[in-house]
Amino acid sequence: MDEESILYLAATLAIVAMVIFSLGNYGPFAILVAIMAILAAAAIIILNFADFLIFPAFTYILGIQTIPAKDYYIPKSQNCIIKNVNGLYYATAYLTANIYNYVFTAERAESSNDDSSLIAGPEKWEKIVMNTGFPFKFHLISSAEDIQKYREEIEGKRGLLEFQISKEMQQSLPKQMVIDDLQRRINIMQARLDRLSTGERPVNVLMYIETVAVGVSEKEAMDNISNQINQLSTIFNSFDLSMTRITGRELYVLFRYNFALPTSKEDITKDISTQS
Amino acid sequence: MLLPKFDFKTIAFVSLLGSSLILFVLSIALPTDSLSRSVIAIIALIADILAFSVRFYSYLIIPMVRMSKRTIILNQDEPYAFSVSNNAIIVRGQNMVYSSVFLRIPWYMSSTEMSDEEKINFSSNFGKIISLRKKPFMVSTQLQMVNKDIFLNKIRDKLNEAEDKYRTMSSEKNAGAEAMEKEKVVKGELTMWHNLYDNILKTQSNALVSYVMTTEIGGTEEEATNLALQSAEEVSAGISSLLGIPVAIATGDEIRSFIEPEYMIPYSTISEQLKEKAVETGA
Repeated sequence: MDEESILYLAATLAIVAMVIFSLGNYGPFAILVAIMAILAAAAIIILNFADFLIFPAFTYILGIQTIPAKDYYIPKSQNCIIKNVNGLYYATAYLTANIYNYVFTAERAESSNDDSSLIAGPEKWEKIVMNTGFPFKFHLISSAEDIQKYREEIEGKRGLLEFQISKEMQQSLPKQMVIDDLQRRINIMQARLDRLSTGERPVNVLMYIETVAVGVSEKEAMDNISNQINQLSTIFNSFDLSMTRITGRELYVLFRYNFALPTSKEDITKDISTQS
Repeated sequence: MLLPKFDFKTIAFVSLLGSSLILFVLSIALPTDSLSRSVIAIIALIADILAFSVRFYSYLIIPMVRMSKRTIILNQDEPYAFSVSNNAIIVRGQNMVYSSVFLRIPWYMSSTEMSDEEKINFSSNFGKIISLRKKPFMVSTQLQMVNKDIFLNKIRDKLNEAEDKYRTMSSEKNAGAEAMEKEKVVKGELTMWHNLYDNILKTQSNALVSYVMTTEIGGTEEEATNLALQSAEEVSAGISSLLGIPVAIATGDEIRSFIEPEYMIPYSTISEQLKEKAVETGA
């Protein structure tokens, strides 16, 4: 969690806590106030981690649509953006395309010469393009990290692990499993440092997929876009991505990114939480 | 304003949080019955939830207050405008102007044409491309429907010519054997244009296009556009040297093809297909 999240959560949950600790002041209605306080705490926590569930539910129940710009509108389901062009409805929807956070093959020091993933990448991509019979876009928003800062971070982590390993070895009965685990993590850090030495730069990347469907009515366009989203999730399976349909606030954010990108990595982090 | 960036967010948060705190204090300090105090406490909790929601939804506060007929209007203006030089798009924020420039990457090689070494080089070069800039920039690839309008119009003209010719010939009375032969040839030509037109109309042709987008901000349109063009030139030089291809800045309709949904599925191409589909479903 970033500092802003912690600040907002702490300030608002503090008030909920104060209400709960003052239940004695509400007489026979203390139970009702307690229930409302628990619901408020739950709402705040859900808003922090999964606001994409609450806002679309709110607009759907109340039947509210949003107009982000001229000729465009976001329907009450908050899961696509629609543009009416000469009586045809164009629906645009987005999917996250997050890489699962695990150690990549290339980071295992013993198999650092394995290029099979580099060969497979273009082949898999072309198969996806051939198998997709409808328009879509793959977007990658990237910003390079400061190499020196990243190197210092990695070296700091490696130093800490080496300290832990030497401390474990100095024990009267050192645990081999702990030593092996620490050594494996040191190898990962070292592999990353080696990649930096070969000229690779660390990058922050946001990837997502956009697709467009058309229909003679709003309902037809929305049904078509949902079918396309489901097909894309299946087709992109070979890339082992975490894919979730984007709804709510982040839909509006990605719509804006079509026309103007944020100018710093921090702005992207503020705009986009993960929906996977 | 398409990109609201408020300090208003902090003011709204502090105001709502402050209101929640004041209401809570009133709920324990007011010398009234417990029902009134409970109601005030519940209102304090609602204000607390609204205070938190400001974190993500501050841009909705004023539009929601102005909401009518269940429609929240965030912006009624066009989402962008073209710069004077037509090679960038402009988006106006609260106090700043955002300018975005697009670069088309003319990459036409398929992986089926590449050796393993070329694939490794391509993948490595792609990794280098995405690390070209510290500021965020976008690399995109889009699969779009080919706009066959011009081609279809030419075939339609030929079809109409052939139809006119055939109509003229078949209306001629007392046509001799030679004329009958010519009529058969024209009928064959008419069938050919019909079949070609139907085939091209029914077949969906796709094209794969890659592009890069960079955005800069400035106090004025000129400042932002100049900065964006400068960034685009740097990225263009990097991509050209890595991939060995000339990368050019996109203008006008080419930019629209990257950002407008009706360019990914051309209206005239799809409307014929949809009409036929509607007729078939109706039948």
